[in-house]
Amino acid sequence: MIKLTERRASIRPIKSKLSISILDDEEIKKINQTALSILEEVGIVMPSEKALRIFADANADVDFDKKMVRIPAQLVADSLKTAPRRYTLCGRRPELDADIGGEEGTYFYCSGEAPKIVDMDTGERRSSIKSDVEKMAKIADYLPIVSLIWPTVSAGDKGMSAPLHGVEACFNNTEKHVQTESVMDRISAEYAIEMASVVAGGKDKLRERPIHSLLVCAIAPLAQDRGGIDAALAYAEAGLPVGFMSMPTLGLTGPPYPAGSLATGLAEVLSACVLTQIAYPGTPNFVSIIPSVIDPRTANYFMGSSFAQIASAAVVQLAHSNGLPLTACKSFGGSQYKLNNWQAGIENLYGHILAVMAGADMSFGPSGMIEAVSLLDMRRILFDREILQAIDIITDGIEVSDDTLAFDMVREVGPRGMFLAHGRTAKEARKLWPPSILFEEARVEGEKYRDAVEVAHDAIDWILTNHRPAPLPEDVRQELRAIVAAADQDEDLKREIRGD
Amino acid sequence: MDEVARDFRAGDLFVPEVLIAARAMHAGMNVLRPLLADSDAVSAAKCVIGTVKGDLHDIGKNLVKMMLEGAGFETIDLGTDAGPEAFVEAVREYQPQLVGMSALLTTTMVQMKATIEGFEEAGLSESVKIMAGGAPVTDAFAREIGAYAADAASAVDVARGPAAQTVLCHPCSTATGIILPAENRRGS
Ligand code: B12
Repeated sequence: MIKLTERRASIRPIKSKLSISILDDEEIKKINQTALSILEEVGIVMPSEKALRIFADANADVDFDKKMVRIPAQLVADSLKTAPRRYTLCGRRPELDADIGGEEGTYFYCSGEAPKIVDMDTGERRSSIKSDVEKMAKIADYLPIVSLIWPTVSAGDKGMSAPLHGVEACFNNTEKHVQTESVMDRISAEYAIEMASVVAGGKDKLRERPIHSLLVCAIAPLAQDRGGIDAALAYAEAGLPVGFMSMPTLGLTGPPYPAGSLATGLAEVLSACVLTQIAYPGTPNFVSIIPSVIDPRTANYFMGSSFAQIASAAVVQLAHSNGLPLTACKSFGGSQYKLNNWQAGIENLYGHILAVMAGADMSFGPSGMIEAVSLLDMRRILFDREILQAIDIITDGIEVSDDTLAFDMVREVGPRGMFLAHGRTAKEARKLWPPSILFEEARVEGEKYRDAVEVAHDAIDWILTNHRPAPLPEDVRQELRAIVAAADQDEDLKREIRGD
Repeated sequence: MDEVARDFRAGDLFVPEVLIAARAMHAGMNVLRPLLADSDAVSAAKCVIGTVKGDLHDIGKNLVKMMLEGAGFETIDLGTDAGPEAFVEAVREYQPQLVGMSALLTTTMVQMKATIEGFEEAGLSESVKIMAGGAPVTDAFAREIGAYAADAASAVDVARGPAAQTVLCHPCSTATGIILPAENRRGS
């Protein structure tokens, strides 16, 4: 393990000089047209009264009994015009701001909300609890490759207010941007927004510098979640960024073809973007489509499929053609496979490299999740860090300049000379040998290389012991605690989640 | 169907094939049932199954339902977002031997407990075996409410009888379900 050093949180997006496109212009147009036809002719279930009224007022074709809306293509086009292509997901300090849609490249998430965790002491799997969320936020705060943070596991010991405890745990342990995908009802949304404004220093400051955002998932095929949509409207009203995700499973909740599932997925996410744009024009939106397949032997959810990975890379072009930023998925930032197996390595390498080369604004992962985002192994995040470091180098291409062609140096060293002792080599050698956390050289003769999992375990222990995220002022911490305590006691919140 | 289930568990059959076999069996049963109307042999055991209140995940629930139907159970599907009242009402109406609950969210898991309390209040808890499952459900959670852990494939074995207390393994390791035989419901 390299020597880890104490440092303050920083972020590092990856900018690719190499690019790929999965779809050609004609294909993009066809998928978009199909999505628009779906919205106009088939429609989307929108089980929120408020949302249906917003659509009705905008002259969409609303069926209040069936809670269904059909959205004319023109309304989609007009509404999306107000959606910004570029905006900032702020951290607590400007140095930690992610310039979405800017020139910096792809920003990475430590995504999550896994309900279970591999206990670092016992190696056993168990339900995750709030202190696990705190620990993981700390690890994500330490690693520069992570720009955006979710509660990586759920505060399973906190019942129905678990999502709010998760957000609090993140605010207390990272200065980076905090996003949630589990605050899924109007009342919880209000509590979360209140917490964010306490941290930001008031509602207006929060609007100016959104340190918090939301991601809501559609219920494939072609339906939205009542609570999720209500939460999205609350966030948009507060001026916070709201993303929409679709998770079509090929042949189950989407057509059995990548193209068809991209079209239904696109229809789902666009319907929700249109809603927020009609209600609160200018809301920063982003989209994500996460295709998957079913393991036909078990019917288990399977994200690790190559069909899913290539389809999710194509989403970059689909989102951008609609003027929207996106989060690429790569197995939701986790992996289908266990951490020290070769399939996991392959899956993470090509998933991430496709996202970066396709030009995704954001990408899920590194996180440490396995088993279809239901289990977290903290050590795993360091494997992802290593993979992303390789991708960073690969996608940087090759610099060709007088300096790097180094004709003068060649002339100087000449035939059969050696470049090793040259002053310029000494300077460049470090760049050619980027620090690996997991690669260990045997220190004593005869000593065995340690397994990378073991090294990762030590590194995680080191981070948890030594890294101190910049703390929030004590009065802010207290206020957050009070908000969460109020939520714990709030019977209306429980009713809202249940949908009584 | 027993053979189909065995081949499925061995990995020789895929889910779509099991579904087709189940459909064929049902078609056959529909022909046979009127002819054998009086015989006990064909009065299938019933299972009320659903995803709990606030939760819309139904892939796992549908899979369990399919396995049960494949094994000859009659299922009453409450769909998703089913509250304790819906479960209680269905148990009253259909008098099933089994109830299956699914929850995939940390925030909706608590509804399993609420549903079981609903059965207790209605005096129905002794008459049914309760099974529950979903990704957040762990052995510890199962034990907390006095239960055993298993999963979709084992649901059939459990549903069929005294195997209720046996912990069975299934190839999909993310999957956990709990089986709640009446006698074990309280604090074991
Ligand atoms: C697919 C999926 C969805 C789909 C569901 C589609 C559908 N029609 O069901 C969609 C996209 C709609 C969705 C939405 C959401 N989801 Co979701 N989803 C998943 C995912 C990836 C897979 C679930 C699945 O279908 N697995 C395949 C089936 C076969 O497995 P299974 O359900 O576990 O069932 C097996 C066993 O558990 C057991 N079992 C299950 N039920 C029963 C019942 C009985 C009686 C028995 C005996 C056994 C049993 O047997 C089954 C087969 O072996 C899980 C992660 C995961 N791996 O679980 C997240 C996950 C459950 N979702 C999550 C979240 C947060 C959400 C959303 C809130 C996202 C959002 N921001 O909007 C919404 C909530 C919507 C709502 N109100 O319910 C989180 C939950 C976090 C938490 N700790 O609470 C998870 C863990 C993902 C994550 N890490 O973020 N989701």
